[in-house]
Amino acid sequence: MKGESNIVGFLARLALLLAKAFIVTGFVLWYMVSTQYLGETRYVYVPFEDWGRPGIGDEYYREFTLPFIWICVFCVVFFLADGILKFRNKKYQECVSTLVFTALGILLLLVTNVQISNLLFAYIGPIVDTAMNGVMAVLSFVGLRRFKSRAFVYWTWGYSLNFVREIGVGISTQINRSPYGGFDSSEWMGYASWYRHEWQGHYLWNVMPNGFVLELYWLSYIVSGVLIAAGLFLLVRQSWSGGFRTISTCTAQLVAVGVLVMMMLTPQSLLLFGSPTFITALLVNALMLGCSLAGWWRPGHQYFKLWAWAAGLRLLLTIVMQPPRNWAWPPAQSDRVILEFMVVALLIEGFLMIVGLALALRQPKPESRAHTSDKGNMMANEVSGGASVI
Amino acid sequence: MSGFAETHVISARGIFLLILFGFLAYLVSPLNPMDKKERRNLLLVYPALIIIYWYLIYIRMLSLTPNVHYLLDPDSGGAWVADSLICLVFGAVFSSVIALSGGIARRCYGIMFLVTFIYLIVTLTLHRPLMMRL
Repeated sequence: MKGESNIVGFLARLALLLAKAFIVTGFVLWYMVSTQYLGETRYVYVPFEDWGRPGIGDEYYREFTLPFIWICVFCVVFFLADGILKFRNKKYQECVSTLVFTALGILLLLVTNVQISNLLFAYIGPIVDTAMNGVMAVLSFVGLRRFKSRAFVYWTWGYSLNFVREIGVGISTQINRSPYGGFDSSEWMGYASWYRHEWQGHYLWNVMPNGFVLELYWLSYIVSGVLIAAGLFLLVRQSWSGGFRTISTCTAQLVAVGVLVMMMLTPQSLLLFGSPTFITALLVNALMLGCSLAGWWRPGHQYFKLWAWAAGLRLLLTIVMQPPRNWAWPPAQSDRVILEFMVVALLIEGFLMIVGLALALRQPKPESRAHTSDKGNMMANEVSGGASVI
Repeated sequence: MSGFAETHVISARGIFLLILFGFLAYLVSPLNPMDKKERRNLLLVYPALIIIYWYLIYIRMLSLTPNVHYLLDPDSGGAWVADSLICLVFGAVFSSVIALSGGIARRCYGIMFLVTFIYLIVTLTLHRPLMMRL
């Protein structure tokens, strides 16, 4: 009897894992199924020049993706049931984690079944980037105030830098708008003018007069990436130590060395992969995935699970999606589809990161210690007069 | 017409560099509440960071548009010198702080970078990339 129960439990967990994997990779699967049936490329949104084509909300289109929709609905119901069970068992953190995937499933249903306007879709990328980094910066600052952990110092700086950069890119693109044509011609009418990827595609290769903005863009990407990865690394180490341990006094130096190494790799990255920050993105996301998996393995907190999904998704995108579009100018026809994948994945990733951090902040606040030997938190100690780690 | 106008010395990048290096100096100064040993360790990375940054951005001109990355803007010759001087002088100052403190290894490390920075400052115009003709 007990053996049967174990098998049922194992199968239920396996089904849950498969359902989560389906939801996270659902957009790609949906696209593959659709393309397979239709035999030609389809877009989530219909560009102005393609008005004659069937859109996503059309019956003609929807019938091909009906099995996908039913699986998606089944996953959402499955998650809801699991969430209710966990809520009744008072496993609130796990309940929130499951409900996150419920929300992602609903999001997937919406994205794949509702006709999205071109303008809205073009704005989703920069808006999500800006909002996600802003919210993460604020939450990290709250975590810093609450836990006095250096990890949150790094995250506050890293996400603030990202936030400022995203706003700066928007402003800069508005200022430098279209001196060589391009955005004003009908060819570009399907896009918002400060669509970040178009900015990358168009301004990076044709317009930028002095490269100053690009320099800021790349360098801030490197610095913030290293800071965020270092923050996650510290969080995992502190979780492993049971909330308190002596940490090396070299963390700031190691972050600076990380930035140095990433800078040295930029020419190789540009030559080999066509983008100066490709290797940085690869290494940072791999490190974040490794740290999240380590945190998932040992302390087993729910927020590490969510961050692992987010980092894995971003790593997958970096490896699979980015290389084919780096060398392409003018962009290939498939570039638009890749961008759609990236925007939707960005949405999911940002959602997972924010919910994970919100969960982490709900950890009980450690008792403050008047005297401590925790050198790793020296900066926070001296500022606040107390010491604690998450 | 000379074709090498160097009218602009102050640039947005120069101001940005001053703010950035000021912040870096604050991080290793006693004003920062970090542990002293940690500040000293952090300082060791600065000269290497500045050299690599200067080499990539000012010699290789990595941040410029890739299809014109080997030529300077005709107006930016003066700004190039000013910005390079900001980088190299800050690098020399950080190196001298390292050279004046700590054990023999730190001193050698600091002196090595100090000599490099002074050499680059003295021979700065020799390293300037070509400019576009007006």
